[in-house]
Amino acid sequence: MKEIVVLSGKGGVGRSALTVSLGAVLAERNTVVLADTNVAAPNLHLIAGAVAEEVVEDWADKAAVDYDLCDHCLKCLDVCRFSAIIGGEEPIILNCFCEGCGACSLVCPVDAITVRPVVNGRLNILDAGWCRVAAGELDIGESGSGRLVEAVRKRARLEAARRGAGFIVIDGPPGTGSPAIAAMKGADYIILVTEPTPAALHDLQRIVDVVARYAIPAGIVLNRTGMPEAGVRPMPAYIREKNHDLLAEIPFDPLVPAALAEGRPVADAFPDAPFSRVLRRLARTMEDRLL
Amino acid sequence: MSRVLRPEVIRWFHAAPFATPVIGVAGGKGGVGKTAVAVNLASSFAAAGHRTALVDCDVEAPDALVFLGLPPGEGVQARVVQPEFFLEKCTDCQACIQACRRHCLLRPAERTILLMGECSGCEACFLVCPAEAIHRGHRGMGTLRTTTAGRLTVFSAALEPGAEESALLIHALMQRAAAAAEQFDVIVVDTPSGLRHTVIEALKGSAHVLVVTEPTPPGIHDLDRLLSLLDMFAVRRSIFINRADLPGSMQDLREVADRHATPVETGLRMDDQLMESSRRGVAAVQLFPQSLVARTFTGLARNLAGEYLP
Repeated sequence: MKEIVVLSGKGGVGRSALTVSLGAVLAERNTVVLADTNVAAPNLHLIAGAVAEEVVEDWADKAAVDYDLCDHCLKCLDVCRFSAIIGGEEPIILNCFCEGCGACSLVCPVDAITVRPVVNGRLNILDAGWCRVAAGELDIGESGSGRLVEAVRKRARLEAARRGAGFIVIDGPPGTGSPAIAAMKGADYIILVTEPTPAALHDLQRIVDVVARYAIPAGIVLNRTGMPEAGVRPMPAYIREKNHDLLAEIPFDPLVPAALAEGRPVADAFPDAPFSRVLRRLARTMEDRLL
Repeated sequence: MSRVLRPEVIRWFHAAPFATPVIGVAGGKGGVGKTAVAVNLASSFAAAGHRTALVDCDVEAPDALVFLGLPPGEGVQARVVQPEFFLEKCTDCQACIQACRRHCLLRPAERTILLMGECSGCEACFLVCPAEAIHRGHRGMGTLRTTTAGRLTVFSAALEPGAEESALLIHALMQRAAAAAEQFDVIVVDTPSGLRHTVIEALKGSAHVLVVTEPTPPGIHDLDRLLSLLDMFAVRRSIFINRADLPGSMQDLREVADRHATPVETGLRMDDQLMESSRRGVAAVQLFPQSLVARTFTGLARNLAGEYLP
């Protein structure tokens, strides 16, 4: 079972569409499980056309104040390094910023603060007919996404093991922070999606620098080439220096948003579209390298 | 987070230590055009004669300077506290190891404590050490920059590769902008994508949030979630539809807007000149001042200035 994680740095460069279609073309010859680790804005299921079958709640440690015990000294407020406690009459924990570190409970003179698990997200298991999808969904505005990403990957592995799947294709989050790092750890291969715009290439460099810390083989897919605004070619020097392969170039294809609007993988809705043809070659490349 | 917040939390969200109005730009889904909107809105305010700050809170993918073609310039390191152990003072009580809920501390030998895991800088270990054997060391989490071009000043921050403190870095960036707030007539805040706590950190104090979206199913799905967040904090907002001619459903989008009682601004269709300006690293309102995109942002800035600026 091989795990391919798709990352991009910049959002909106076509990462999820590529993840789903790569899964769809790999599924022509292999059993595939998809995972959505973009837990702060999960919408892989909308693109894959998957429906929910099972929901598992996920938890994170958060501080809680027992107001019957609290004597309003507000010492907790001073020690919180995450600005997760606001004061006034009594301390109020901002759950969204609470890291569950327990510093507040250590200084509370009357033991009014405990750290306990609180539901802050869920793991959705969905079915698209051609594959299973494990998708994390953090509650709106919550923190602690790294833990949920781990849970998604664990469940995806379980689904893959049950079905004897050859590939898990993981949609990563945008950015370079803790969710992206949690998504890439332990993967067999990283596909970095970008497009030939200055902002996307700028963010690609940032994610390339993060990937370099984890010694995982990686290659680049240049999406939406040939658009009126496309212009930055050839690939910047920093990409060539890292020896990442340019795995594929995908010409701008209006059938991609058309398939997206229908909630179908492009490779399934429009098998002969330029996008789908490149994806089929990309799938063969992945099979050659990983199997 | 619960759907109904305590009134103190809503007041905390709206409290600001300065009077300069803040306009947030948020989007939920990545790549809907948040930064293009923020950059062009800020440039329109500046062109209209307002002293303008643009704060780029997308610290994991900071692109405002790239969109504006401005050189990054010198930066200042933002740091997070890390424990340093002075073992000659250590009494081997191991209270620090018990206090660390991330299990980052290891005792490989007598009176020897090692920091092994991903320390968040919570300082719980400092609080419990009876012997003052732990000192405050530091590690860099990102770089803060302030870049000025005419009446526009950009506050930006870049998270270090491998660092995980996005929310703390945004907090430091917002504090830096807040310290200079009185020098500006208006502050525009660009936010990270996704609906994590980082968005709350970035939008805290915004008088109005411009919600950028597109009529695709993922765009509408994330719009709904972002509006739910703004509902919780009772934030004034309006929707800016970008690439309105993408395949999707404007009817679904308007239903979501109506359900959250959110007005829709004059938006844009797919716009070659907006894309061209992003590629060339100049705000569209400057590069193509007569274009539809320039008129759209100039009008938007005029309306927001009329409502929020003195």
